[in-house]
Amino acid sequence: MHSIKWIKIWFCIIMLIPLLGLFNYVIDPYGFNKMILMKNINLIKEDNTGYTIKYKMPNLRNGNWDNIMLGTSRIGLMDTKVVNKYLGGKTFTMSQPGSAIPIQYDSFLYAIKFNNVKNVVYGIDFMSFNKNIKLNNDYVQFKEELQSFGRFYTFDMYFNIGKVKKSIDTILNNSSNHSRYGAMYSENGERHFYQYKQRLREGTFDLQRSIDKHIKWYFSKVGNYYNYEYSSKYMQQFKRIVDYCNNNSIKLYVYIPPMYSKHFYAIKESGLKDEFEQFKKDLAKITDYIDFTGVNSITNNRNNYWDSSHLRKEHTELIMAKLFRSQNTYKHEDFGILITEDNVEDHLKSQSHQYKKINLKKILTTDYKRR
Amino acid sequence: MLFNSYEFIFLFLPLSFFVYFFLLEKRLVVGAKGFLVFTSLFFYSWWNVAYLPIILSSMLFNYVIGNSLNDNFKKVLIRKKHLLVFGIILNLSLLGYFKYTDFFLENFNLAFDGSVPLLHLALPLAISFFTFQQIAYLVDSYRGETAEYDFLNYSLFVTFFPQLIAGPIVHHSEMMPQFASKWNLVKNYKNIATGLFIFSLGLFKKVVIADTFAQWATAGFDNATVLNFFEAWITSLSYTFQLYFDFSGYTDMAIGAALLFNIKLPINFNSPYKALDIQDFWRRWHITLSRFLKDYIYIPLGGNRKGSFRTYTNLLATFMLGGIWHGAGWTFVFWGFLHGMALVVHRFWKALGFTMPKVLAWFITFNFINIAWVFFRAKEWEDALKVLDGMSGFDKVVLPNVLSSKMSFLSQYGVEFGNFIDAIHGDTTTILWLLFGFVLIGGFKNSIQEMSAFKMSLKTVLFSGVIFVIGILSSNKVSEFLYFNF
Repeated sequence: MHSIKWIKIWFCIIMLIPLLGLFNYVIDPYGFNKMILMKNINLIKEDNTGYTIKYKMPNLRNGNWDNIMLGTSRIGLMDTKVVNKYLGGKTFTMSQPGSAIPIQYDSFLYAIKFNNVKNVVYGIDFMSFNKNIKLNNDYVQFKEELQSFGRFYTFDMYFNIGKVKKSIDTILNNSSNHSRYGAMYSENGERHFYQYKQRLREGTFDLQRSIDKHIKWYFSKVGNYYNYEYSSKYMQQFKRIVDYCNNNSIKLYVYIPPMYSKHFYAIKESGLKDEFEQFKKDLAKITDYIDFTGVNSITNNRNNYWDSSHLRKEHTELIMAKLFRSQNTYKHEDFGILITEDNVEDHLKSQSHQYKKINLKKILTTDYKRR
Repeated sequence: MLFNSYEFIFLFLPLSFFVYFFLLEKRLVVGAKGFLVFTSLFFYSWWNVAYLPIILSSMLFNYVIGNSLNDNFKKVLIRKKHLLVFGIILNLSLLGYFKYTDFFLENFNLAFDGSVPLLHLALPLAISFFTFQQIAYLVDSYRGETAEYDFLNYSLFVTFFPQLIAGPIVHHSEMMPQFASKWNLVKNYKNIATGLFIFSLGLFKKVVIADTFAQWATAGFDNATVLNFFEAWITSLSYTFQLYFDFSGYTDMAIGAALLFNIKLPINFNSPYKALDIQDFWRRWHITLSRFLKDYIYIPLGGNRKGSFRTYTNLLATFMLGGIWHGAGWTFVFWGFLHGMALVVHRFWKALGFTMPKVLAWFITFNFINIAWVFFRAKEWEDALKVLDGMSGFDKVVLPNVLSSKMSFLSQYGVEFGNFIDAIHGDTTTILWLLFGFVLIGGFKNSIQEMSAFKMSLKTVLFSGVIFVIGILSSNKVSEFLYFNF
């Protein structure tokens, strides 16, 4: 074969790159552009919560958000409409699943850079203060861009062989008689557990298994509590957010999200009670907050949860009413205690009586096979 | 700009190629070479334009000193040896200042309980490579082994973008004649096809193979404290494969890109993990660095000409310097020391006339290299020791859950059953990839052999085109080449 012919054929083959890119763009498996939506083809998208930064930052950068919700996926599930109702304006959920404080700090800076933020609602988690927590993959990948307030491009979401497979999966899933749903972000950053809702509708959702499986994950070798070392450096970083808000007339509302009581017990069982209390004490030195953890009428009812830590969206009202000091807390007076530097010790003392013994070892050694 | 980035592959490389040959077609040879120097400096400045004056002044300084040392330049007012020493000291000072100042200060503070603040200097890209390249040029000028080169060709020799960042460490004697040759000023379609072939191969090695192993190696070293026996071995093996496919992939891309411009870069790898002894390994791994260390450190130290003891100390010194060249840290020095010691042991063994079966020789050599890489990769001593602890710790054996019923008797010996490769985020594909890695390093021709045997055929074009497409579509994240850090 002549060299020129070889080169021509080579260039013909690499035309596959734009063709496959176009295919991915049209099918748009993760719902990044939603330009062409076709029933039975690509209406139902794949789980896009692994692309938090790529998905959320361009929306956040567009501006026009008045309120920002910060924290982990526990606040990510909360209904922004409820927050809008109390605070007015438009709310964006800048939550990052299982994130450490440095990630939340950088996200906060990114949010205020491009928005005239008036309120910050912060669902702060104990696990985020673990010095040894694994940083989210997409944060590690895009840290520099995030810290330099750069743009986030999505073209590599299309020119990608893995996404070709996802595009095909999307088509197959949409054309199937039994389409499956995944967790998804919406444009305002809110997280939706469509997969749980689907299973609940179909009667195949095993809540107890979901709770135990999540506890196992959290406390396993790859989980967020593993090798826990409380970081006061992270607390200082959180303080910088508080100081910034105070100095710039941004109202800050802080709360510790309500975990299911068994998850609360597991913290003590794994030997982290002291660190958990230290976290709450240090937090109280910096700001007042509402503590929704512990055992109360909401956290003791597993049906309020999707797993061991994610409160269902329909209970957003209970959280926000308490947080914004509304009288509208119905009968759940015991849910959420206002903590200040003055009452934190008493609060911890009374909470320490709430712990119960659970067989954490059994949960950790059970094999929760995929279903 | 990385070789595996879209901007390099789809903009920078084609534009440089077309404009260069367009200028040559218009018989603007000086303009074309000047353009190539300009694009190379642009390529260099892409990361940080602040580095540009460093490489420019280094280039100018060495060109002037080199020409002054050259026999063709008669009007030298000081003795040539002093000029050479001055040139080398200045080069090493530049490298030392940027690369080793903080290392020195840290150790000074530690030894004397001092608190001298660190400078936290950013390491100018490729400084280790272009410094070595130009020291060789100075030494050869002193020896009268260089011709009188013009500055444009010299600039091209130093800055030519395919080899600028991470080698191969080229020698002026193999590059200058190519830049001066008129035969290389016309498009050569055979070279273009061969260049595309080897570039595609390199891209695939980097993006598909090395970056896949990288995820387990990174997770393992990040979680060094909790690794069980299998996790620790998978971590070290993943890094061993990652480093080879990353660096040799980069070199293939450099060789391919250079071939588009009719420039043949020296080979840098020749199936190093097939080596049967440590000397064999260093003849196959980073060949251009080994060549430099041998010609400009080991032989000037006396090589093997001054008796056994001096040979051994020369070997150790050369490899410890080679170690610290890779990075300012004791782990690198120790890695160099391990290799130096291995070479000493090997020489001793050979002198005694012993032999061993090939399979055993390969097994020992490969495992030594694999274990030594742990020090090379670890950020801290403790991390290296923890990974090695896991690799040697039979007390931390975890087997997959599926074996728990059949092998439950092992529990009495402390063996646990569970998710046995959790800490490195592994699954069954990890094991398959490791097996694939062994098959690739042991059972296939390396890319240089593939290039030598390259023929224009439907088979090669399909193979090359498809791996290029897969390579491009697999770069989910454009990851840096490991040797950019050195």
